[in-house]
Amino acid sequence: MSRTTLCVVTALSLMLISASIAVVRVQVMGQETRVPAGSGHFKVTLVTHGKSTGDARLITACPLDMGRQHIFGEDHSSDELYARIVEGQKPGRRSLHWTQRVAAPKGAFQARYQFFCNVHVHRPSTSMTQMQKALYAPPRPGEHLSKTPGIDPSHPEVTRVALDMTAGMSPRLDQVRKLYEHVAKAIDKEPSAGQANRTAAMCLEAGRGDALAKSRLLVALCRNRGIPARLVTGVALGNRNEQTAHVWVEAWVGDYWMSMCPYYHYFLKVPATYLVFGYGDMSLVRGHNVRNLDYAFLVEHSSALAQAAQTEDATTWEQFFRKISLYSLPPAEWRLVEFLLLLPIAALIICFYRNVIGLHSFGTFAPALIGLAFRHLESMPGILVFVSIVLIGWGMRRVLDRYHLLQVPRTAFMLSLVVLVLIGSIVAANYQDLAVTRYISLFPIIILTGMIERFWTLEAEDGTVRSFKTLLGTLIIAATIALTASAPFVLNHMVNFPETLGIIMACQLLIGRYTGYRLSELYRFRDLVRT
Amino acid sequence: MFWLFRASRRLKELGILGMNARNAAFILDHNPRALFPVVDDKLKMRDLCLKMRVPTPDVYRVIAYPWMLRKLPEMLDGVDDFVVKPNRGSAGRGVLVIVGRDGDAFIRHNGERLSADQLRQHLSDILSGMYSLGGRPDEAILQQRVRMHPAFQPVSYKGIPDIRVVLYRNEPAMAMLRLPTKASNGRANLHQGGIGTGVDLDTGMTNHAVLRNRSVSEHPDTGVPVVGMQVPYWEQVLDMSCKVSRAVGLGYVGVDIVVDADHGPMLLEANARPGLAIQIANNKGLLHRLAAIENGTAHPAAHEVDERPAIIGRIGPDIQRGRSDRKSA
Repeated sequence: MSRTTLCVVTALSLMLISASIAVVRVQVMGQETRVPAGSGHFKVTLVTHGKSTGDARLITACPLDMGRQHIFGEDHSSDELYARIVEGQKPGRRSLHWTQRVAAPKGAFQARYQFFCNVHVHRPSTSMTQMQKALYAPPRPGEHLSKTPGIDPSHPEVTRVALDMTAGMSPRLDQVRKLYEHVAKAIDKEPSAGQANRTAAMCLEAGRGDALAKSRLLVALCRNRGIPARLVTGVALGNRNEQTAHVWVEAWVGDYWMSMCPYYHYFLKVPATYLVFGYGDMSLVRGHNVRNLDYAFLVEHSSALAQAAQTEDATTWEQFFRKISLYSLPPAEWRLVEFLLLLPIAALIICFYRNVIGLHSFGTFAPALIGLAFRHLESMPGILVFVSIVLIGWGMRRVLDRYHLLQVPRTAFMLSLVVLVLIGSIVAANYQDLAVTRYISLFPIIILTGMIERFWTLEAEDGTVRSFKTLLGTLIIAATIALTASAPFVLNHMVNFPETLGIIMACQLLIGRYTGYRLSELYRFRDLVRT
Repeated sequence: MFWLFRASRRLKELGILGMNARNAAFILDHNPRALFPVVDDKLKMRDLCLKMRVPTPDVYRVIAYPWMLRKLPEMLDGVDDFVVKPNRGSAGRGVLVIVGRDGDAFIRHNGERLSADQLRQHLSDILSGMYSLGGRPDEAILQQRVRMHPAFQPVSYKGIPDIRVVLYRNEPAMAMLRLPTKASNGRANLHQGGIGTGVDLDTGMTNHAVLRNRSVSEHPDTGVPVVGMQVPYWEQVLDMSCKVSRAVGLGYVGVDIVVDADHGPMLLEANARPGLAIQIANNKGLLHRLAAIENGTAHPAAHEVDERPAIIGRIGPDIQRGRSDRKSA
């Protein structure tokens, strides 16, 4: 078999395998290839709007990926704000940080955050179990007992009620039950309207309160009796209409954290549909330089999803596809996989540019990393930052040439210079109130340094025109990759059908045996064509 | 859009070898990677030349380690006229031609003065791998300087011309003479602004010339016509190229030869990835000629078929295509 035949046969079989996996997947999973279904699956949309008074900042909390609740398919969008997911700054906190885009004017803005979740995960992943363990560890001595904003356990009225209720009782659980019953029954429910930020004492005094006020009161009562207790903030997915945050309570009853909801009257445990966003007194949406901030959640549990849930006794094939679905990954890994899935596409684009078009670039795969670093549309201006850094670096490299340094120390010195320029521009931009980090957070600095070196070498050996042409080639390739990777369709398709990788590899194989002319050669040999 | 297809069909008719076809059908299929070190390493190549008695410029000194630079003055004692080259360099990068001394300083081929410190710095750059393939640490060699043959005097600007012969299965497929210009800074590399002139394989006469991919008829700096010139020692040049090609064992190879005023043809180096510009210089595509060699219908040395090295196996797909095109044309 000739090499080309071998190549074509391998490519065709790769394509065939990929296509058949995709077809089987669609056959077996149906709708689920896009959104995995199950009785515990919900789609939640959070919309926040308000008015910016200039340089608006917004922090919206994200649900935790732990225990039996799994979050996937997170997506965010806003015309006026730029968003970044912040994870692991504090244990048990995930949030989206929104900042106003440079070009966006003051005034009204809207931000949309959407995710899917499964609250009946049968086999939680290691990271989910670990987080659950950490958050449900026994409280340290004195923890969850002291005064916190809105909760004053030593308030005289609170003390009086707490003592009244628990007189003569010793087991913790009984005490908690008594306190819970009091708050659940004796305090009237009221909807939470606007910023009704009632403290525990105010709630007790008024005899009524919303979920937050009642939960605060229950926490204050428990803590007064020396029982560690904390607020839990999240969303009650069971309520299928528009809603805001829900707050409930957990108390340490000696050997475990016991959940209860004095608002909807749950004791010992709350429904699995109570989706946890975080522990403690937290607001799901906060803003700086923002007026008229308002938000609402919409929870969907579509009938199609519900139907699929009926057949809980899934076939082996369904179970298999569910197990290998990328949707079962924790959010952080999911984003890494997203990036990884885009790399082969970027590499294919580079193959095409180099072997079919004949465009030169600095470094073979450097444009892929640059392109992917700038794949979020909002970071596109970063390409300008990138070009200016290469040019500044080239200037510095020319000066450095006088020193005649050995290669490795010289590159190291260039790296330090590049870092210096980057830090300088970040500081300067901060002074101008521009958040540069949003453009250069993922900046491949090592690649940048290598590129400056190559730019200089090419300029010294083959002239300025040639080196600028190559820089332009690099930019064209990087821009194509950035545009391709930023198309939501591409990413969605890759996540739903990772087997598409086979097709991409087949294309790479085929280009590998392409022996036709490159587009640039038609120009190079143009005089011969004319004769 | 249709222009593209027409242009590409025309190139195929002319038998122009493209970069993809060169890499896939010739270099990958006929040049095993294991044989590359010999051609990429000038010292190994020199040893090979000595073994097969092919004249090559003398190597006066080899500087392999940075500590040797301290003894540079002693090393250079008695050597006033030499060429500095990186052992694993390519495309003329890092080459320094020294024609004489002026006290402690050295005089370059273009008349520039070079202090001993600058020379030491250049050597140290070579050692650190600045000019080597892949940036690996390298050795610097001090080589005998080739004397300009009188025939080339009128068509060279501050440098020595060289002859590139591309061989396929040890048979010359195409040749060109490369002439240095002011723009190429005395180097005979086409992409740096040197002139490439096609040389007729049978006669050794130059028949076409290009500068930066465009046709020219005379040297831009000297004004002397470069077409219709006889390359001296042509027979020996071709013989030498065949000998070298057989010795290195590469199926598709570029052999660079210089003609010295005193010693005649000398091997400069061999190249496992010869460029495509030779086709522009000859105003002719390589593919038809390569196909003829493949079929054994190329007129000289057709009896050599049996001696072909075993590494050469199958016919490259493009050759086949090129051949069928020719038949139909």
